[in-house]
Amino acid sequence: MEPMAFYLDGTRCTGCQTCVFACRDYHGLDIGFSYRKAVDYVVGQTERTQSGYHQTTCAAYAVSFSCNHCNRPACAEVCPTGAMHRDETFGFMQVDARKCIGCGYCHLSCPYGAPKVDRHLGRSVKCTGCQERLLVQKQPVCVEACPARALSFGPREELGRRAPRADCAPFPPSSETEPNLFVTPSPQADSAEMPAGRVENAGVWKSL
Amino acid sequence: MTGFSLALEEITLVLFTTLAPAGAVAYILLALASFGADQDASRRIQRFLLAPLMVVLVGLVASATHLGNPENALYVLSRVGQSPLSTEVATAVVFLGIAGVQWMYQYAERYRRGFSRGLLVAASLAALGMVVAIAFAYASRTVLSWNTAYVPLLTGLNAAMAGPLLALAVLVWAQRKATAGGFGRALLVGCIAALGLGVVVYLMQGECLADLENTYITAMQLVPHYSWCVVAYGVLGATAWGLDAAAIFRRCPLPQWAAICACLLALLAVFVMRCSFYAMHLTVGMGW
Repeated sequence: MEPMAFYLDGTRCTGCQTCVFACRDYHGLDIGFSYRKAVDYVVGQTERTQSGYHQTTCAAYAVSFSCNHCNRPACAEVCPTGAMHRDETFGFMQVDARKCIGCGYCHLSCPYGAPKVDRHLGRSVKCTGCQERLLVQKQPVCVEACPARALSFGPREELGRRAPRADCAPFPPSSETEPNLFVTPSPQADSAEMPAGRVENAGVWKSL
Repeated sequence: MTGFSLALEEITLVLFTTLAPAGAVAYILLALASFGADQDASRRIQRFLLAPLMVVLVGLVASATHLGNPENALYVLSRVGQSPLSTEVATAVVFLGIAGVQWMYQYAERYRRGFSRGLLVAASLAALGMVVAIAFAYASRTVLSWNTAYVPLLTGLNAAMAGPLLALAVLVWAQRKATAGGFGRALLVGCIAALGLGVVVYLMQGECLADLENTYITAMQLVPHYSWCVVAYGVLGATAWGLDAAAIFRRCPLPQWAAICACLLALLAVFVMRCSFYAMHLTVGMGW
């Protein structure tokens, strides 16, 4: 099989969270937790001028992301047991449940906050790329659910011709982990190297 | 929202990284004390090496409780040298193994002093290796606030501050009168030097934190009370030192209660800063 990747069209994503809900429903996850996240990034500011008018440079856009099955995965580098490994079928990073000790270091090191320790299962859980769906020629459930068709999925090489790797804020510079998420940035997209804005609904995810 | 929720989640790791390095340094110092003592005193001190060993063991057991699947723990040995966490666990196991054998050997019927000393040297080197491994266990290239020179340096300084006070408490417990002598004074000089340096390096780390942020949050939002934590570290550490210094620099026997209180206060000081360490977790991208 060819190594696969996700693609996000930043000019289409509205941050509607349908991908998030689809992921949660399909994988039977608890309310408030999902392998996929969608966040709103806001950059710029609004100021009152001396003449009393308000001027704004504010812009906002949304991004959807999950585990990006990176080429230089920080999670696998720090994993003490080798449980976090690359599956050869689709080139995804997967958790070997027989080896994972649930230490959570993968969660701490991932710059996308993708893996998380499920205390009930006692091991890390994360996006698997809906592998079982791929094996029967279906798309990952988040991609299928996206109402704006902002998300897609396909061979890395093909998606790499369509857009660069995720290299706009709020993502970290792609050189950090070489994510297999290719992004056509929003017209308002801010620099990943020197971001001037903030994710405004980050707390929603942190509290989950 | 601050990062202290993470510190609370990882409280067992806070305990481990507080206790284990201090226990290891105390072990090394007690080993040195035993080398300088006469045969009877030396053997007595070596029997009391169980105390710092237990401190390390309590830390290790505490850290194991945060694991979801400890039954898979043997796989940790498969990545020694590749994963910093693997290396940390392996060095702890090696230290506890050698130190455990060394302690049991004190009760051997055919006791040989040379062999016991050899084991002690090996265990001390393993203890040093464990402290170094713990110091670098969190050097993940994607964690902005942990992958700095301050983190390993401070782990060492914390151990050098609390370790001597733990060693003094054990020496008093072993009823070794020499605590009021040159060795006791040397331990206290080392402790206060480590404390002073520690405060300075913590302040430098605080300056560095002011510039750290990702698109979610700034490091200072994660540890808004960082300055107060450093103050608490300094005050607790200085009080701990003062309790021992009051007796030792006046060449009086150190009361057992004072030695134990000093040791607990020093560990508390380290505990406060280890909480801050976990609270300041901030990745290069979208995690904290």
